[in-house]
Amino acid sequence: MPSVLLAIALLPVVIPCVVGPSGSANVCKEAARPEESEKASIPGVTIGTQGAGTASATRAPWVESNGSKFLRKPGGKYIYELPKGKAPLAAAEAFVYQVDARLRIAPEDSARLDSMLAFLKKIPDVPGLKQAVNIAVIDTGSKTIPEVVNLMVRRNLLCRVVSAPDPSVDLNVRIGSAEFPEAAAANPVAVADKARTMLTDRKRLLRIYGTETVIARLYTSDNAARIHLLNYSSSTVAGVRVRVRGLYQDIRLSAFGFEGAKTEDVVVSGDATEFTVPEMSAYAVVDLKKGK
Amino acid sequence: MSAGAVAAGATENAIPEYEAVTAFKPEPNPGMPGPYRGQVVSVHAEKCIDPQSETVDAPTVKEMISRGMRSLTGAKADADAWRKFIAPSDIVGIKANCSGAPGAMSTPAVIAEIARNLVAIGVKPENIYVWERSQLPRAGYDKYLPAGVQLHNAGRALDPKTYVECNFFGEENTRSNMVALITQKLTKIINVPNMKDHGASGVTGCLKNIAYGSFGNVARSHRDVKTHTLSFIGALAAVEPIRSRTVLSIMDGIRGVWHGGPFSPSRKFRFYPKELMFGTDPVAMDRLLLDVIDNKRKAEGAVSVWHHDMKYVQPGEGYADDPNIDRFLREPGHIEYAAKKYGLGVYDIKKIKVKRIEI
Repeated sequence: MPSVLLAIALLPVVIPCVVGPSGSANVCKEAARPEESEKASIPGVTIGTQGAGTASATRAPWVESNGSKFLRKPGGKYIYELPKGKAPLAAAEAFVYQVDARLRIAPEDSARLDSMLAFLKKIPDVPGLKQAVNIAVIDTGSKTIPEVVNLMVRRNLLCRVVSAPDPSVDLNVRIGSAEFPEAAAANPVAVADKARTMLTDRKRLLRIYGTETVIARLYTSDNAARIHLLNYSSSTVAGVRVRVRGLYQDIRLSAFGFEGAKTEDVVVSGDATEFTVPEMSAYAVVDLKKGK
Repeated sequence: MSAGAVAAGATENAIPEYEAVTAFKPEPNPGMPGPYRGQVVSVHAEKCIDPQSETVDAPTVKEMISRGMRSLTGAKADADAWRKFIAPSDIVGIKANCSGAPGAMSTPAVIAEIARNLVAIGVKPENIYVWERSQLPRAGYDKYLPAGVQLHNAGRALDPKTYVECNFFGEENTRSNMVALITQKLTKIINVPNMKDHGASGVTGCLKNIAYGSFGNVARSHRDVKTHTLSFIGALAAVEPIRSRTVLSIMDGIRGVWHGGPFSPSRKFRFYPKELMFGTDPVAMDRLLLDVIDNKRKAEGAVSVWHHDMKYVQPGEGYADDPNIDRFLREPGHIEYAAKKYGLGVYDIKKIKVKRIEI
C-alpha cells in the first residue's frame, strides 16, 4: 500500500507538539525512530454477536482500542500502519493518551489527517489537569493483565496500571487476590464485571450512554475537567450522553468536523453533571468549569 | 446451545433493579388502567378480512370501531364516544405496531379509521402522529390516512432526561430513553397493538407495544435464552407521561400471528381472529390475548407460551419455521407482574368484564 510517513510527537503536557503531515514532516520524524516503536493496533469497531450460539438478535460492537497498551506503557513510542479512513481517529487516540506516535497512512487520508492535527493543535492548555481514575490495576505480571485493562478501557472503567496498591483510588484490582483469584482471571470479562460491581456504577467518575463505540478519558483539576471522547465507529454518532461526577457550570464542546457544536440537555443534579453531545465523528473534547 | 447457557437461563430469575427518571408527574386519573378498569369490549366481524387474499373490508372495520367505541363508553354517537378520551386541542399519538410488517401489523384500515374519528371531533390532522420505533416505512400507512396526519419513525429521537436505568447483563449502556415525541409533543396516546405471539414475552399486546415501542435500547433485555421482559415491560409502561397519557387501547385482531412473533416470518403462522378489542385497561386486554394466542397454538399442536422447558428453546432461526422451537424462555407472566407491581389493570380472568359484539 502506498503510504506517507507522518508523525505526531505528543508530550505529557496539555498542548502536545502536533505537527502537520506536509512540510514539517521531517521534523516530526525525529520524534521516534521506527526501530524503537511498538506497533499500535488499527483502531476501529467490528460488529459481532454477543457470543457464539447466541439466540439474541442483539449485536454488540467490539471496539479495537490501543488504550490498554498506552496505559500499560505510557512512555512508549508507537507506530500505526493504517488503512484508508483510520488516520484521524488514530491521531486523536494518540493525542488523548499522550503518547509519541507515528502514523503511516493511506495517501487519501492526508487532508483529513491535516484537519485533525490542526484541530488537536487548537485545543487550549488548561493548567493543573491530571488524569482522573478511581481504579488501579496492579501489574503483577499476570498474563491476564493486558486483556483486563483492555476491557476496562472499552467499558469506560477509568483506571491506571500501577506496580503497587494505590491508596488514592476507590478500587485496587490485584489478580491473585481473594477478590480476583488468578484462576478466575482466565476470564477477563468476569474480572472487569466484578470490578464494576465492586466499584458500583454510582461511583464511576464518568459514564457514556447512547453508544457503545465511544471511549472516554477524563482529566480533572480542583476547578475544571476535560473529557476526551473517541468514537471508534467509522460513522458519526448522535446523541452521546455523558455523565461526569462533579458539579460543573460552564461546559464547552469542540467536536472535530462540527464547528460551533454545543452540548445539549445539561442536567446538574446530585453529585454529577450530564449533557449530550449532539453529534461527533472521530473525536470531541469537552471542557468543564465549576461555578464560583 | 451450551450447557452453560441452559444453566444460566434456568437460574437467572432475580428481578433487576430499575430506576425510572422522569420529570413528569402522574395525572390525577392516569390513562392506564383508566376509567374502564377490568372492562373489555370485543367486536367480531366475520367479513372484516378475506383470509385467502388478506383483503380488509374497510366499511366493516369502520362499523367495528363505531360499535366498539360506543359500547365501551355508553355513548350514542361516535363523536361523543371519542370525546370521552380526546379533546380537539390534543396532540394525539397513535402507537402502531409494525414489527411484523408487511405480513402482520396494526391494520392500515384500523389506523386510518381512528385518525378519521379524531379529525371528526376537531383534532387537527397535523396534530395526529402515527408512530413506531423504526419499522413505520414498511407499513404503508400514508396511502390510507387523512391528509395532513403525520408519520413519525422515532429512531434515535429520544429524550435524554426521561429514561429507565437498569443493568441486565453487565451491558455498558444501561439506559432506555423514552421516545422524545411522547415527552415533547403528545398530550394523548392511543395504543394499537395487534394480536401476536412473541418469542420473548409470550405475547405482544397492549403492554408490550406501549412499553418496548416507546423506549430505545430495549433489546438489551434479552440475552442467550434469558429475557427480562417479565419485569421490564411493566417498568417501562408505568413511566410518566406514558401511563397518564395512554388513554385508550384498541387491540387489532383482524389478522394475528400465533408463532414467530413479533415478526411474521411465515404466512403459515398468521391467523385471522377477525376481532377488535377496546378498553383502557391494558392488563385486562392482554389477559384475554394470552388465551387467544395460546388456544390457537394448542389447536395447531404447538407448545404453550407458558412452557419453561429448555427442550423447546434453540438459538438461531429455527423458530421461524417450527412452532415448537422458541428463541427464549418466554415470560407471559409479564402481564400479571404489571398488574401486581404497578397496578396497571385487572389480571384475574374472573374479574374481567367482557362485552362481546358480533357483526
